[in-house]
Amino acid sequence: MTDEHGAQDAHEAFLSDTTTFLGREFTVKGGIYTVVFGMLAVATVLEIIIGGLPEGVLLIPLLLAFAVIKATLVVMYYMHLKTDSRLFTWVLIVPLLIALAAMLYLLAAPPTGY
Amino acid sequence: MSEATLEHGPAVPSAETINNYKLAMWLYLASEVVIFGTLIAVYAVFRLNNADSVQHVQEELGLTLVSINTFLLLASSWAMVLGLREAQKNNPQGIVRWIGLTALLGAIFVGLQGVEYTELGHAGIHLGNEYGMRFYAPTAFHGAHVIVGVLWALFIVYKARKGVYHAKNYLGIELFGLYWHFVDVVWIFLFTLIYLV
Repeated sequence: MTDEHGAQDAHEAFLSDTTTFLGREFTVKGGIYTVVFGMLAVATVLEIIIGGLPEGVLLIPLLLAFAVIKATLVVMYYMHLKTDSRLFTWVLIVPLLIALAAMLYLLAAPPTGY
Repeated sequence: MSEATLEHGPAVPSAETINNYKLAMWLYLASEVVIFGTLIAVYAVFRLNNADSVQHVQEELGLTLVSINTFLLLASSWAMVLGLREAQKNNPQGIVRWIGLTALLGAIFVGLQGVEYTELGHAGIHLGNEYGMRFYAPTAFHGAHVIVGVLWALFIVYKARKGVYHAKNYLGIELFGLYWHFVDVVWIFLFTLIYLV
C-alpha cells in the first residue's frame, strides 16, 4: 500500500484544477481528469482516421497500440492505479497476461472447420 | 462490512476497510478480464481466418454510430470521475449532477447499441451467422454491463441525494467508478478490434 503522505499528495493532486501532464502544466476545470479525457478523445479521433486508411503491415499494430495507450490512461488515472496499491496492479496484470497468452495460442493454432 | 453498515454505522470507513473493498472489486474485475478475454479471443481467431468476410461486415456496419457511442462512453467515464471528485470536495449536488450525467450517457449508449443491432438485423447479421454469434457475444455482454452500470449509477445518485456521501465517505462511488471505468476499458478494445481492425 502507498504510504500515508504519498496517498495524501496524490489525493490533493487529483482535486486540483492545475496539473502537469507529459511535462506541461495545464489549468482546466477537472484538472488531470479533464486532460486525460482530452487525450482519450484525440486518440480516438486519430484511431478512426487511421482505421480508414488502406490496410498495411503497420495498421493493426498501430491501432492496437492506440487502444493500449487509451486503456492505460483510463486505468492509471481514472482507476487510480498510478497512486493506489501495487497489489491492485498485479491483480489486473496477471489475468491480463493469462488471457493474452491464451489469445495468442488460439491465434497461432491452425484453423479447422472454417 | 455491508453497505448498510457503511451508511448507518461508522460514517467513515477505515483505510483497511477501503483497501479490502477495493481489492475485492479488483479481484472481481480480474475475473471479468478472463471472460471478456475469451470472447475477444474467439472473435480475433475468426477475424484472422476470415478477413474478407469481416471487412465486408465492417463496411456494412459503418463507423458513425459506434464512434458516437465510443465518445459517449469516454465522456461518461470523465463524468464519473468528476462525480467522485465532487464527493471528495464534499459537494453532494455535484455528485448528483455528474453521476446522473454518467447514467444518462450510459443509457444513451445502450439505446444507440439497440439501434445498431436493429440495423444489423436488417442487414442479415443474426446470432445464427458465423460472424453474428462472434460479434454479438462480446458486444451484447458488454452492453449488459453498461445496463448494470446505469442502474448502479442511479442508485449512487439516490444515495447521494440522501446525503450518504461526503469528503470522508465516498467508497461506494469509488467502487462503482472502478466497475464503470473497466467497462469503458473493455469498450476501448472492442471498438478497436471489432470496428477498426
